[in-house]
Amino acid sequence: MRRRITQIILSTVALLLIASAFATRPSGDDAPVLTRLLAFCDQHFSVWFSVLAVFAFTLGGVNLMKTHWRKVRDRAADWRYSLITLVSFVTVLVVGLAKFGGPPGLQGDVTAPDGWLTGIFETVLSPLHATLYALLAFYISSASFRAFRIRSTASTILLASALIVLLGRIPFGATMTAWLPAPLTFLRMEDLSLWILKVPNTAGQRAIMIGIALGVVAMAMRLIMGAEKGQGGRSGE
Amino acid sequence: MIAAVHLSTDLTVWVSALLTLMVFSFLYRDNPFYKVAEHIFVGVSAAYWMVIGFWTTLWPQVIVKLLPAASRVTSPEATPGPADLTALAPLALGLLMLCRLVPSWSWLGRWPTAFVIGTTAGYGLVRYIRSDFVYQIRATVGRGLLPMADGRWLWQESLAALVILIGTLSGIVYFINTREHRGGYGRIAHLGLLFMLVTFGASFGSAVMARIALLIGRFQELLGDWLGLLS
Amino acid sequence: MNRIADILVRFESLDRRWIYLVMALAVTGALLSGLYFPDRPSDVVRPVYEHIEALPSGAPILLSLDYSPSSAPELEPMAEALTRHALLKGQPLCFISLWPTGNNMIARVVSRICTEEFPDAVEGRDWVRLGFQAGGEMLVNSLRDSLSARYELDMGGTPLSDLPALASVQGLGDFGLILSLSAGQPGLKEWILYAGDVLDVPVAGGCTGVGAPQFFPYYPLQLVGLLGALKGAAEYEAALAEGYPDDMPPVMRATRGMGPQAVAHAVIVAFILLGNLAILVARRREVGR
Repeated sequence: MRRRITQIILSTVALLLIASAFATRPSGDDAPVLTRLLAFCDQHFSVWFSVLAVFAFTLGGVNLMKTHWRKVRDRAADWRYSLITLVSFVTVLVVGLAKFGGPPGLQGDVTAPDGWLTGIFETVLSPLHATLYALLAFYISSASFRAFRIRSTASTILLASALIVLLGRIPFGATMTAWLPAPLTFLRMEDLSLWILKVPNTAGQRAIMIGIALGVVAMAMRLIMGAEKGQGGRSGE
Repeated sequence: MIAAVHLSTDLTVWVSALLTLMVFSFLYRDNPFYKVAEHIFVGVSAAYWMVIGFWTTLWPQVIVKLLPAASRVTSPEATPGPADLTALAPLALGLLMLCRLVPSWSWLGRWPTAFVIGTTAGYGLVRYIRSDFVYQIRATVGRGLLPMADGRWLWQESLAALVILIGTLSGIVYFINTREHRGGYGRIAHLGLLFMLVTFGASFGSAVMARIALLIGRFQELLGDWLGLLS
Repeated sequence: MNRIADILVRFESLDRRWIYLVMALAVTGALLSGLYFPDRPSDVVRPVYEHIEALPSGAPILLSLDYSPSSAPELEPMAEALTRHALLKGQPLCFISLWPTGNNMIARVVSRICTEEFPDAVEGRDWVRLGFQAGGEMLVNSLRDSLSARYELDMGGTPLSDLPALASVQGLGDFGLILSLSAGQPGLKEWILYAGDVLDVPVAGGCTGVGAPQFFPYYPLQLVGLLGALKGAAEYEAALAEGYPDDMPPVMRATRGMGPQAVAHAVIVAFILLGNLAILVARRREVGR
């Protein structure tokens, strides 16, 4: 019974929204009930989804803290780091919910320029977030050195395409091919790299995109019909 | 150009720089400084997302709608309107979602999950068919293979359109795994593979550009804001 | 010759930390030298500039900053350039975001460009901050017919009905252009799927280098133009410098970043070529034996 309710909710919501994409907007209170229902669903389900997204953030945050709290409580390995995570979490939660700094009381935007949350964002979150991703620059240079080897025709094509795009985006690449005469200007590095992005890359990406679109449709149909395991469908939990 | 070294006197700049260097220390090897920075990031970002989500979405879309007088808490000049009881539905679904935290009640969390999946499937199906299927086909063959302008044949656009058409079709053939890639069909699939390789090579080249830009951003802050070496 | 071959073969098993050091020194050197290269707008970037130039006076532009600090080095210069352009041209700008970090990203651009560079510009008349709300593509969908379905007040607490910048705007279809600077999902793709293609409103965007190749299929039918990575930002700055030579700083942020970018690319290409040369030499030695 529980699984059936889950499937009914999923299928009903999905079918209503698919239908709403084709329904005309109601033009008054005397519009047909179905039209008004579909407009209501289209308008409100987006908002409800957004609210659920916030509850999902909350669920994730609380789960994370439960995990770290258990480590601290049980003095598990690296429990001191978990304590740091907990302290950071609670500090930001209190500062943000109480809107410390900024306009008086709970007035104004939580990200007001003089608010403590903005201070934490600019001083702690932003540099940490940016630097963690900046590490990838080093990894990609090391990966380029180790992985980009000409072993076969396929790897040569991959490497050539990457090198042309890399060189075409910098002046050095443009200088390398600046000497090419008028009829062959399309082979200049900067034009060639843009051509690779606009033509063969577009073809490949389009094939992937069409494949994904068909996959999305197939998966949506399977979910709506209850054929997908794990979502309240057959044999689903 | 290099300016004279001018260390920042702003505490926040020093804290940012210190945290940046703690993360960069991982490049040498894993160490406690990196672990501390990583754990601070996890705690701060989780709470940040919750706080932002609460004030920007939960507060106006649920709390203020159900209790309009609450709008005066954040905006004293606000004129509360009538209550909107439709906000009870997402609140109820949200509370059901939080039931996942209690093992004996976690089955209740499947209903809001079903709502989320149904919404995504319902909205996404039509949009993906239109934008990523129909419009992509239109973009591939829409202008035809002999585009003209002012009576002139645009041979470069024509060649590009032909290459895109061949590449798209052969790429799609390559992804069809329900038929064996043999004979003529196999050769078309192989051509599709070659287009994919060019695509992935271009993606890699572009990705390198992206990662380097992130590194430049960090170094600009360290060398400029912190050490004052950049004019 | 043998010595060079020996070095190359040993190079193949180089500790990756030496590669990191070379990369760090290359970028540091390029930054300290102040190296930069002027750019010119490509035919994927120029249409965005021309579209804004061709907008009727007063047509509002929606600028969605869908990124976090990790992508700010690439996308913030685009945001700054586009904001400058809108304010110079006199098109009201409406800031919004699909990412939780969006409010802080908006604050940075507003403080650096709107208030510092355009002291005569007035919030509410020349620009508006709607800010972030959760939901991603569902937020875009909600705003389709009416902005007030999700936003009653702007980030400063002013009712939308009191904002002159949005006087002609009911829903997303009333914007002259929707611009999304996106680092991933939700972002530009969602604006195309849920707004551009549904309402037939022009959409243009910027994205990181990682995402740029994925958006070319949408150009030009579903995307007016695309600013891809730091290069795209530098090209847009070049277009601005061409069109408004007296109003632009001598060197803007993205253009300044292209110098170190060029050096880093050259280093990576050199590593790739040296790595392959090392393999070639090693193979020849194997064959020789």
